[in-house]
Amino acid sequence: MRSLELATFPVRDLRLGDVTAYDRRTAVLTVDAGEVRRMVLCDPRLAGLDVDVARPGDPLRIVNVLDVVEPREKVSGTGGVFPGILSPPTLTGAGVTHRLAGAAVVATGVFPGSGDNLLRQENCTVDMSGPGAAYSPFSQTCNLVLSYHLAPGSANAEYDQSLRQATLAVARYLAAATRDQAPAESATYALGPVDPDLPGIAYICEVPTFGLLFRSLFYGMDLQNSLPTCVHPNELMDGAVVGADYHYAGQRTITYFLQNSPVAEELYRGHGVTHRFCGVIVAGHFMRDVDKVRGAEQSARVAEMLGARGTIVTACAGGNALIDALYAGRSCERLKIKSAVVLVEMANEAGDDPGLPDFTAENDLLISVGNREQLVDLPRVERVLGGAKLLGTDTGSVGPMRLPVREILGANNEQGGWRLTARAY
Amino acid sequence: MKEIRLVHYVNQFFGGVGGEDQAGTAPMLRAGPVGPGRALEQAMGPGARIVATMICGDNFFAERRDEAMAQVREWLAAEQPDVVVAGPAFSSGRYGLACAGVCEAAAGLGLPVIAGLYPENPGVEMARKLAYVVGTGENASSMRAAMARIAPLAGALGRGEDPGSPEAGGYLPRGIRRNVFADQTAAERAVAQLLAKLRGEPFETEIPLPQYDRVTPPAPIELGKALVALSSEAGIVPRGNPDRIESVRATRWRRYTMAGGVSPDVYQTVHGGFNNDPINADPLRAVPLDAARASAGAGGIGRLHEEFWSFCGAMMPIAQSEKTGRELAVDLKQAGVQAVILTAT
Repeated sequence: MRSLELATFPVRDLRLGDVTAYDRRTAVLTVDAGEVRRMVLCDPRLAGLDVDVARPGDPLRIVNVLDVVEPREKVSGTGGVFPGILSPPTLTGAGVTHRLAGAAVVATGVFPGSGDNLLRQENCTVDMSGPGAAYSPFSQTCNLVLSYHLAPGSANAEYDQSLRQATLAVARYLAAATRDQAPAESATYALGPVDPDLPGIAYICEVPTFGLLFRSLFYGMDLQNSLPTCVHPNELMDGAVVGADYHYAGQRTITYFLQNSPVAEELYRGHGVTHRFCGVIVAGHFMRDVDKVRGAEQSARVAEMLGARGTIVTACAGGNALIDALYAGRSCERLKIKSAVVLVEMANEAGDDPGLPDFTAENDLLISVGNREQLVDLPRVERVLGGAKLLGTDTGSVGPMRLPVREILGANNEQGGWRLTARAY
Repeated sequence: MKEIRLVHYVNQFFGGVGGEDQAGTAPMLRAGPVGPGRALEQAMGPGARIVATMICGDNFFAERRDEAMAQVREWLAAEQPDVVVAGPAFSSGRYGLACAGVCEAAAGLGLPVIAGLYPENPGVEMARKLAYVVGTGENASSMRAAMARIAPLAGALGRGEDPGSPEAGGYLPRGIRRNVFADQTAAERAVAQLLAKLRGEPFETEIPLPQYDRVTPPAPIELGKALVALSSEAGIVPRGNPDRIESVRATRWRRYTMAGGVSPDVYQTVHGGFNNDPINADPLRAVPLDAARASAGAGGIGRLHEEFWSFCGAMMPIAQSEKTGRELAVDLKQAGVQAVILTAT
């Protein structure tokens, strides 16, 4: 049976210093910025790197965020963290993995304009204090902010690869500082046998597969045009799926929430108590209706074969991808598998427009992560990391500014990691 | 603290003019509270005062609505109250619709307004987005209870306060979605609700299914003789997008010629809802001129209009879709088009 010991090293503060080290007594992580820069800049596509710290309550704003990663390192057992990218694409999710809880590596950067109307980077802010902080889960973490400067002359596909490789390597490097220490706490995750009368619940985790800059990777592979596939939740914990999604920030598929999947965590919590956690189905989405239907049927088929009587479906992105998620819920219901679908609402700013592109009567349980178009006022801040201007504009990123919540990282997190929702008024 | 100034609207019956025989009564303005206004003033306590009461016969309002509303608007503009209350009209249909008219007039002047209506009163649908509709019983026997709910809401609105959620503020949901922070994460809520659903216990969706219009198709026409047009939602524009059609939440649409074909040298998509590459490589997949011409040649359709009607539907709010749809339909009709092939993405 696949069993993973996840060893937690809490981080209460993060500082820059001479040597990268984790102090178990004070829970302080010290980072050698020079070493981080050396690691990253050996890639000729990356011309420069600013290394900064952003702590909860700091009077600063991070902009142009690409992705967030929790520092993790495989300490024993086969395979490694971020398989298919930092280690071979062999099965992972067993042995011992160390994590720096409460710390995060936050990558920022600006892709050269792609010219595409969909496959492009969108604004992405995190306020560490003030009224905007409540909207982002990453105002709560001690962040090592890596602001990349790209060397000219490469294509976006190459930059994407370089940025991901560098960010994941730094995350692994930080966690490696705990390698020889005993954790503050440790939990063993396994889908052991339970009372057969408990209902099985599977998790259908939709991930973006629109194309470059708006996708995700499974053991390093782009899932575009792939059928939904089954994984063990422990594989997610080891970074088997990572985000490569720089589209709307609020609903973005973030690596941090693939490693710390809020739904998988919740289903593990009640495993053997209220239900049996049957496994995770990672599902891309499709462009044509016929493909959406086929993909949804496949997700439901896998759930049925895992013995599920219920499924949680989490959508990714809006519009197009919401239809796939709603179809997956419908396909499950038609197989008598009861389902709940977590998704974002795309009403207008005033909130008086229906917020979903499709409704199917079978989906009688929808969980809302809020209306992404509602506006939020962000005040002027003392300091900005990641860029002086908002993407593609002359608007200064210090503010004050008025943004739709979709421009705040994690505000409408469809992976289930945040508390924003919308109600009828 | 500043006294709240309130204007109240009642019909001829509650205004003490008379019953059904007086339903044609023209609008009149009385100083101070009249009839149920006294109970409202009492329920609101010493901080609030009804400065004027507008009275109108139900038939007058129904039959000469524009006139009645103009009068109401004039009085409200002159009085500039802090809050307006209409009714309660309970389940009375004509009175309810008159209250909705008062709500429209007040909302148009930027004045906060409350209507008291039985939830099935036809006035509710008209008023609830403009006003705060307080649900009442079916008839006047529930007057006291209705005023007890209207009074605190009128106080809050009169002081310029946010009345909070429908439950807290005692009004019917207005069809507006507003973001709030829940106590639990979406994952925690999803699992808890699914477990309830699996146990057969009550569970509650966070997004109720909306009711959309159902369109009944008109009777079939003889396609072999008809003038047929192509229209696409795919955001197809001349290269460079000279009319600056928006990629998402578009407000504009255009007619473009197909006389020189629909080639990738001439046309591109600006649609913000799908990977643009396949359609940029071959815009015919969005505007099927090749198939339509073949059909016209074979007699499947009569004639093909030489222009296509282009719009971009990505993330378009329903209200904008309805406006675009109406404009397209009118323009197609004017062009003599009898049938349209509408391609969506």
